[in-house]
Amino acid sequence: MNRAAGVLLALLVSAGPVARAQEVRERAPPLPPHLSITLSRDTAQGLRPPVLRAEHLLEDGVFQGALQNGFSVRFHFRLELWRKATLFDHLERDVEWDAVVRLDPLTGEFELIRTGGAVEHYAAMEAVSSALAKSFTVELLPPTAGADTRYYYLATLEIVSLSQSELDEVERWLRGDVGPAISSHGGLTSALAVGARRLLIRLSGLPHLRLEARTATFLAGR
Amino acid sequence: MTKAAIAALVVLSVARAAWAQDTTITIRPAAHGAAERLARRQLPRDVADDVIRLFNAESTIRLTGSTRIPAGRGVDGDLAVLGGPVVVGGRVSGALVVVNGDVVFDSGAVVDGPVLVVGGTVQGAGQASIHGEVRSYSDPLRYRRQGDQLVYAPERVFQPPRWIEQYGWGEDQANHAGILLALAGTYNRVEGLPILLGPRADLRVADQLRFQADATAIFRTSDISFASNDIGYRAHAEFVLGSANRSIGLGLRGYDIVAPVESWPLKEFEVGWASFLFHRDYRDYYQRHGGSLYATLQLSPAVSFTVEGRDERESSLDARTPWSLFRTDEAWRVNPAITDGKYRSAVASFHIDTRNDRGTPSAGWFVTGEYELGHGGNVTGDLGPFYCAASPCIDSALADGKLGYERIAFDARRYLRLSPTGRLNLRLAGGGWVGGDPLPLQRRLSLGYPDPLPGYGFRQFSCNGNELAGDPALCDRTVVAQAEFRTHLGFDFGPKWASDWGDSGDEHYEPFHVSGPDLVVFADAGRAWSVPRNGSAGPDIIPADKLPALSTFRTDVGVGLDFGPLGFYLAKPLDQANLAVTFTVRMGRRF
Repeated sequence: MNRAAGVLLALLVSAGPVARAQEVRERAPPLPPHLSITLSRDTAQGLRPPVLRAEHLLEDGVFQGALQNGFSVRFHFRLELWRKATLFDHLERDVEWDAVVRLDPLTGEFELIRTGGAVEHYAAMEAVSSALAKSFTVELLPPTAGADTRYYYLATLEIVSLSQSELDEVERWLRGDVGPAISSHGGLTSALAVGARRLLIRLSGLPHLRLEARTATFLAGR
Repeated sequence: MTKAAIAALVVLSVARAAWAQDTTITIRPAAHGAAERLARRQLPRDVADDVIRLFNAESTIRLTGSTRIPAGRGVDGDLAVLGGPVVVGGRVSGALVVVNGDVVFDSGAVVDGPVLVVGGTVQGAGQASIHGEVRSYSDPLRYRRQGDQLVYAPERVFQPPRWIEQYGWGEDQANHAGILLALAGTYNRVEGLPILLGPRADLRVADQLRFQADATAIFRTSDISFASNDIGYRAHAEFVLGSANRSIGLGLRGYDIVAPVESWPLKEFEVGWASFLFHRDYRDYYQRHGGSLYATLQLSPAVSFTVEGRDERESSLDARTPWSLFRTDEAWRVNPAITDGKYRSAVASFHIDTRNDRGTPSAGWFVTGEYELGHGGNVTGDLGPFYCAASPCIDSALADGKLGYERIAFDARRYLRLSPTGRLNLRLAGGGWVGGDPLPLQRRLSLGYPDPLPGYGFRQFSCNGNELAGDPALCDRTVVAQAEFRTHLGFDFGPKWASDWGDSGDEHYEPFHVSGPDLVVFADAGRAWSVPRNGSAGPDIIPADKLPALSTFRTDVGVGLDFGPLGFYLAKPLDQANLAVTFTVRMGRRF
């Protein structure tokens, strides 16, 4: 092979990745799911309720696939208020809430059911993604007594695909029925059998994601 | 910590008009069970017909999704929008129909016809000039599309016959009835995959009184031979008086089930996957056939007490030949024989669970305890080689075919948070013989790999059980302590100024996006031993009124990465240098 041919071959080989890189640049990668807590104080230095926000939950396509294949997706939020201590921190209080999204095969609409029973309908994936990105103002504030005490918030969001039977349990719970959803007391099926089913769903390729966010420690008082 | 905020009341408050990103949902912590109840309603039929007619009319302009009519611009004729939101700042010279979306009128908006909104809300109507009737319904229209037209598709609601409704049957907010199809346990070498099938019901009999029942057949699929052992059953009926937070229940059970001898090693579904994938079944099993009567007092969602009287036949089972993915050419480990017989027992147990999260706890207690007073009759099995060294022989405790024993079991776990990222989990578990004759073999215990002492061999501490086929657990007592420290890997820290709030009063910060696995450092210490019988002695035989010296406990240490569904751990015993480092895969937390 002469030198010109070698240079040409090298250019061709290197041109491939360059072209692919340009393609990738043009098609921006989807943003990963993100969970954040925002704290703020009012003008009198009083602590405002924390604002929790989960963004880009459906944009990476993983849970889109689960929805379009007939699986519902559950979003389980939890916000915990911890009191900092010398040795062991103390969980002051926590709040949990849920949202479930499913695709109605009859109407082609996405149905978003939130704790408390609110049902929202959306025609497009972008719309339901936007609805899920609504921020939550959680009225969970530290006690005003003990201004020197330090606290922090810890938030988790667990996103799981649900089988039909689990969806039934969650829906009953979301509707305000007694008993926690998907737990060892959630029904007549044993917790271990439920765990095995959930694991089977996970191992079968259906997605599961856990996000966590926390604040720095802060003083409750003004 | 009281978990007073399990449920939350969700109120949608519109902070500013229109766009999704401008709204916030307020979460107000509420007492358990205070969540608003949902009655799934449907749009009135006449309204649905109006919407369908207007939407499908030939002259209607149809749009889908987010729509904005700016001020100074207009739509000539009737406008129908599927989805939304719709923001009107200009003019609609006909009717406006919005299906399953919100509509917002800006100041100066004009609609010459009626406005009909279903599955959404109307805002700003007061500042718009609307010449027709304004109607809005929060209930959505259920439809399907046929070309570019809509067809009404109401949700089908099961209506039980009236006589069934009178007795509270059917499916509504209070009652649930259906067919249960589920796993009855886990994949194992005795049953294969046990499958449950049968009816179940949870009915509201009266205010604060529920009746729960199920009757299910268990199909054992290890090798279908249509023998009597291939099918078992499980049935129960229970009256529960009280609320979800505080109740008392009285029930009875009937069963023909396969039960594990020890509740460890591993969690049940981990045992199943190890069997199914790798031909390794880490538990032993026996058959329980009988019934029980029980009462449960639930003092709070976290605390409950149960007393139960059982009358059952307990029988040995042989390992069969269920399929596995790997190592299919290997034989399954022998399923050791138990002390067969007919047993009557009284069992008292309590359960305290204040964990903040059952899957990934970081605070709270999990404590269970159980006391069993058992009496065996027509006992035909033996009590193990330790008591019957020469054959044939009959252990003196079984000379009359009867066996009376007392047993306890406990498991106490404490979950602590040391810092925003560091967590310390502690566990003390064990139990065993506390009185009477020797324990039947199905109540014996052992320690070793893969749980709760993963640094050692499988049932390495089984009181000579590993000298017998199947490595049965033969110890009378065990105690094990476990500790693990966890911290997150892969932090995405926020800026340093995040914690340093200025005086301007309205500063924000959004620190930390935490991701990545948990790094786990752990240590385990345990001891399994027997109590002396017939003058027996040895290093693993300790007088009944004494505990083994701490220096004799077996200890291992290890490190692992926990990715949530799967965790990978290395462990090494501290007192046996010749043992290699072991590798364990766990599904979920170790405890």
